[in-house]
Amino acid sequence: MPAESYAAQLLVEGKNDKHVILALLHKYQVASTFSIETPSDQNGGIEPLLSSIPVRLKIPRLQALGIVLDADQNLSDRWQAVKHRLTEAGYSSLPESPTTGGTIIEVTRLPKVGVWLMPDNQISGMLENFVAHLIPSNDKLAPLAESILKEIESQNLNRYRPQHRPKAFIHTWLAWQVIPGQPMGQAITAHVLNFEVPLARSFMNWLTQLFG
Amino acid sequence: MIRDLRIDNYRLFHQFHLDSIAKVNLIVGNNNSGKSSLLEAIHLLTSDEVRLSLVYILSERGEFVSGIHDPRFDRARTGGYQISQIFHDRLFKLGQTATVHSSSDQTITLKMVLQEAKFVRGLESEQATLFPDVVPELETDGRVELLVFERNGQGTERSIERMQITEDGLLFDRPYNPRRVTHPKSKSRFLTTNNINYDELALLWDKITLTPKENKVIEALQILEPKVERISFTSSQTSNSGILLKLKDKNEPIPLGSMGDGMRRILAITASLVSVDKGTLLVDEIDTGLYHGALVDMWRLVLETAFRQEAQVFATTHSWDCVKAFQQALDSFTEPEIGRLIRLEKVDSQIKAVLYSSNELDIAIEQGIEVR
Repeated sequence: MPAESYAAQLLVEGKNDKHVILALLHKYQVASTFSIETPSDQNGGIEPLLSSIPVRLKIPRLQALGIVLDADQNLSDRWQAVKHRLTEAGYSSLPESPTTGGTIIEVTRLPKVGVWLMPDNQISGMLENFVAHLIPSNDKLAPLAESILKEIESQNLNRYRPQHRPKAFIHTWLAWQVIPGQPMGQAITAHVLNFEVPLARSFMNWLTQLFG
Repeated sequence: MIRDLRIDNYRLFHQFHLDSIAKVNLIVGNNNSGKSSLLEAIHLLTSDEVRLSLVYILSERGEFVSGIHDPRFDRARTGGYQISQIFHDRLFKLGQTATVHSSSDQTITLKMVLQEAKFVRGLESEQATLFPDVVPELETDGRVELLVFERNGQGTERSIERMQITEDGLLFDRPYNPRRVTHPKSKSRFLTTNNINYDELALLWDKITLTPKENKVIEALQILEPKVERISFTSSQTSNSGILLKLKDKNEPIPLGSMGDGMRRILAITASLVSVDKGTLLVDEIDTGLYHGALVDMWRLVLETAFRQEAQVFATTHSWDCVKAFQQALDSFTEPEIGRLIRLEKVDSQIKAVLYSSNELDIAIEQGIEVR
C-alpha cells in the first residue's frame, strides 16, 4: 500500500536530503505542509527519481510537487533531464536554465512544480556542497579538512572518486566535531552547522513560495 | 476493438473523451467518478441487444419502480424503468440525447433520444421516422419514446430500437431476465458487483461445455482451488447448490456455494470472457471476493485469454492490491502494452481520464506512488 498521499509533496534523492531539509524546517520554524518523498528504498539515486516525475505529477488531487536533486558534474545536463520529464508531463515554456533562487513553474490545470538543483542552481555539485555552505565562516577545521584531502589526493591515496570529493570533505569535517561523524541533519539541529546562511535562507524561501 | 471513446450526456458524463484505450483496461477512481457509467456506456455501444442491455443496466442500478401494471404484459409481473436516469441532468424532457461514439478501427455511434412519437395514420411509425422527408404529414398524440440510433462507418444512421415511455418517464418492460439477455452469441457482457445468477451461468455453460473453453474455466477455478477437476450444472437451480465441483482425491462432488464467493466470481469472469470471443467484457469491481495472491493469477488468465481470442476487457477496482496484481501480471506478459490503467477524476464538475502506460504503472507500483 502506498503511504497516505499528500496534496503537496517534496521529492528528494534519499534519506540524507530528507534529514537535512527536516532539520532546516525545524530551525526556520516552518510548518511542514507537505510530505517528503524518496524513490524506492532499494534502488535510490537519480534515475528512479527522474523517471518517477511524470508518475508523481499524476497523483490524484496533487497541488504542488517540489523536486530537490543534485546537479552532479553537469548542471546544464541535469536541468535538461528534468526539463525533458516535465515537458513529457505537459509543462511547456520552461526556462533554459534554472532560476538562481530555485525554479517555480505554474501552469493552469497542472500541479505547481518547483525544482532546486543542489547546491545552488548555479554550479555543479550536490547536497554535500550545500551543507558545506553551513560551516560557520570563522571555522578553523574546514581549511585543515581541505588540506588533508589535498594531501592524500597528491599521493593518490584517496579511495573516493573525484565526483564524491564534496562527500569526503563534509564527512571529514563532521568527524572532527564534538560528536564525531554526526549525520548532516543532526549537525544542523545541534548547531554544529549554521542554518542562518544566505544559501539556506534562499532554499527556505523557495520552499515557502512553492508550498505556502 | 475500441481505441477511443466519446460520451455525451450519459449519466455522470457531460462531455467525456478517452484516448489510447488498450485491450485490457483497469479503471480506478473515487466513488462517483464515473467508473460504472463508463462500463455501461461501453456495454450499450458494443451490445447487440441494446434494449435488453439498457433494461439490465437500469435493473442492476435499481432504477425500477415495481408493482405498476401495464396491460400489455398482463401475465408478467411488471414495472417501469426510470429512463431519465441515463441522462446527465436526470430530467425527463423531450430532446434529451445521450451519445456514445468510437471512431477508431471502425466508426460506431450509439445515440439515444427522447422524442415525441411520430406516426403517419395507417403507417407504422418505424417507417415514418425512417423517411421523414418523404412522408411529411407526421402526426403525434403526445406520447414519448426513446429512439436508439446506430451509425456505422459509412455514416448512415438507422434506428435500431424504439421504446415507448409513459408520461411519468417510465419504460415498461418485464423485470430483467437473464434468459433474454444471455443471448448465446452476445458480443458484450457486463458483470456488475451483484452475483451472477444460476440461469445466466447455466446458459453460458451450455456453450462452453465439451469445448476447449471448458479447460480455461477449470484452469481459472484451479487458481483458487488447485484440486478442481471438473464442473457440472445440475437441475437444482441455485448457483450455490446447482453447480457441483469434482475435486481430486474426493469421490463425492461438492457444491460451488461451499467454496466461498471468490470461486463464483472467478467462474463468472472466465465463463463470460471465453463466451464473448472477439467481443467485450465489462466487470465492475473485478477483485470482489478474491485475495491478493489469486488476483495475480486471475489477471494472467484474463490477459492471456483476451490476447488469444482478441477480446477487449474493461474492469474497475478500488483496491491497491488489485492494481498491483494487474501490474505484476502485465510485467510478466509478453506484450505489456496490452494493458492500461485509467483513472477517472472530477475536475471542475467535468470527468477527465488520466492514463498510465505499463511503464508508468511499473514505476508507480515499485515506488508506492498513489494512482487511485
